[in-house]
Amino acid sequence: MSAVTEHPNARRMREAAEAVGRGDIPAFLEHFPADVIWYWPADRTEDRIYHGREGLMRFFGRLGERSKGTMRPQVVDALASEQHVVIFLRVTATRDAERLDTQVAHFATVGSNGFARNWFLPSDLAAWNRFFG
Amino acid sequence: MREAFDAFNRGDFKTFGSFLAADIVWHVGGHHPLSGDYRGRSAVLEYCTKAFELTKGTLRGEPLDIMTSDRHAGVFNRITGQRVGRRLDAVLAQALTFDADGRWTEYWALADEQDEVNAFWSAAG
Repeated sequence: MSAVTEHPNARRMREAAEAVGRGDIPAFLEHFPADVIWYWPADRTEDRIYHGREGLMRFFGRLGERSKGTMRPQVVDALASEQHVVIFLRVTATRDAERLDTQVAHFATVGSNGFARNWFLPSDLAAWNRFFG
Repeated sequence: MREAFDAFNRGDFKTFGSFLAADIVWHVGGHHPLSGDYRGRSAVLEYCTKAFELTKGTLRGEPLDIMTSDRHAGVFNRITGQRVGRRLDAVLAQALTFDADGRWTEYWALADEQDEVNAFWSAAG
C-alpha cells in the first residue's frame, strides 16, 4: 500500500514505529493515551500486561538495554480500519555475536486519544526471548 | 478470509485446508496442551481437528475486523467454545502472512485474556 492511499490510522501507527526506530520514545508515546494497555505474550501472568505510558517506557527501555540500542523496527506493511490497526514489522537487533531478525505484528484499537489497547506479537517468540530474555 | 473462517466454523477442514500453503507454520501461544508450533498443512489440520473435537464442535470464530493486503492480514477474532463445563470467550489478535497465491504461510496470535485461554484448554476432560 502506498503512503498516498494509506489509511490515516495506519499512517499514524507507521509514524509511531518510525519514532521507535529513531530511538525517539517521547514521540512514540504521544500516540498512546495515558491509560494505554499493552498485551505481551509473556510466560508470567504479571508480565503479560503493561499499563500506562510508564509501562511502555519500561517495556521499550528493557528492549533498548538488552539490544544495546541496536533494535530497529522496519515497517513492512500497515493495515487499518476505522476502529483497528495492525502494523507488520521486521525487527532486527544485535548484541555481541547474537542477532535477532524476526517479524512482529502490532495490533491496536483506535481511540480518541490514540492507540488504546495494543497487542505486540513476535512471530518467533522463542527467538525473541532468547535475545531479549 | 471470511470463507476460510466459515469453513473452520462448520468443521469443514478440507475446504479450510485449501486456504493453507503446504509449508505453513502455525504458532499457538500460551501455556496449555495445544501450545506449540505446527509445521505443514497436515499438522495444522490435525491441530484444528483436535481443537474442534475437544470442544465437541462448539469452537467458533467471529471475525470482528479483518484488515488485509496482498501480503498480510490482521484479524480481531472473537473465539468462543465450550468444554468440560468451561466456556471460552476471548478476543484474539491474529496475524497471517500470504504467499503469491494468497495461501496462508504463517499464523500467530495473542489473546487479551490469555490466562482464560490457558485454563480452558488445560482443563481435564
